[in-house]
Amino acid sequence: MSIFLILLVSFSELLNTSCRLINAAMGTYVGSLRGSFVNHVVGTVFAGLLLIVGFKTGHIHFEGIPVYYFFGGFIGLIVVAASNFAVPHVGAMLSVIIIISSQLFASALIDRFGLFGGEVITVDLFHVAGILLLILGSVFVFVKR
Amino acid sequence: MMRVNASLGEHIGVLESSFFAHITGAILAVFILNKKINREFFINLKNAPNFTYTAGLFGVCVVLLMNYLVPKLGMAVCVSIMIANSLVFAIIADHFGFFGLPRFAITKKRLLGLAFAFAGVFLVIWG
Repeated sequence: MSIFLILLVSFSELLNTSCRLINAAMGTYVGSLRGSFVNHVVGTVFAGLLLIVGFKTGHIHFEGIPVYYFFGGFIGLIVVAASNFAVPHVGAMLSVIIIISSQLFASALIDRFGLFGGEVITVDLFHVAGILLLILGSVFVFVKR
Repeated sequence: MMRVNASLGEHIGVLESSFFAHITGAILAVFILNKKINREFFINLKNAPNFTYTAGLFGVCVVLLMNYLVPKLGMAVCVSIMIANSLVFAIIADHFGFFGLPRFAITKKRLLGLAFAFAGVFLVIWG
């Protein structure tokens, strides 16, 4: 597997973390759901402008594409709303670990069955062991620092 | 969400997909918030420092990059690397008390956790 792609994922996650922290700063002024709303509006305008001035990575069409593919943004919003509701009840530390574990297992399931239009990627015992190690690692990092 | 966006990206392009991810999120937010988008909200918004608006710019780039990467690497690999990354960042941020948050020095236990996580990523990628 290309090291370049792995580094690119890492870089993308750095951007993602920055995005969430900056958004959290906005959230302290207007509330987290409204912060996320502003985030999405700015993103829409930014991506829209890029498209208008002529950056293209493909072409927009609707035929032959499942409708729900267009609503990926819904999930992001629901995540913010759900965690606003759940984190105060569950506690921050436990929430982080539950979120990490379920993300890992969900991603393995999506790969294994090629869900949502992805290619089927076999998941073997090594992968499962890797995921369990990651979860163990996050427990060590987050429980009672 | 990453997988759905990436699949859309394979059909219509990664930037185009990032655009739809953001506009649909914004539309749903309007429905959920409804009357909470009021005058008070705009007054609070004015008080928010300018840099806080840049989150959306980062967001577009993140979705764009992940749209490109997920079909190439698969979800498990992407998510594993992302989580290992966040752990490193969390430990460093805690150690130095970034963003005015309380400081938690690096401990052996935390480093051990990090070692486990990296071994895990290694297995997921090359196992």
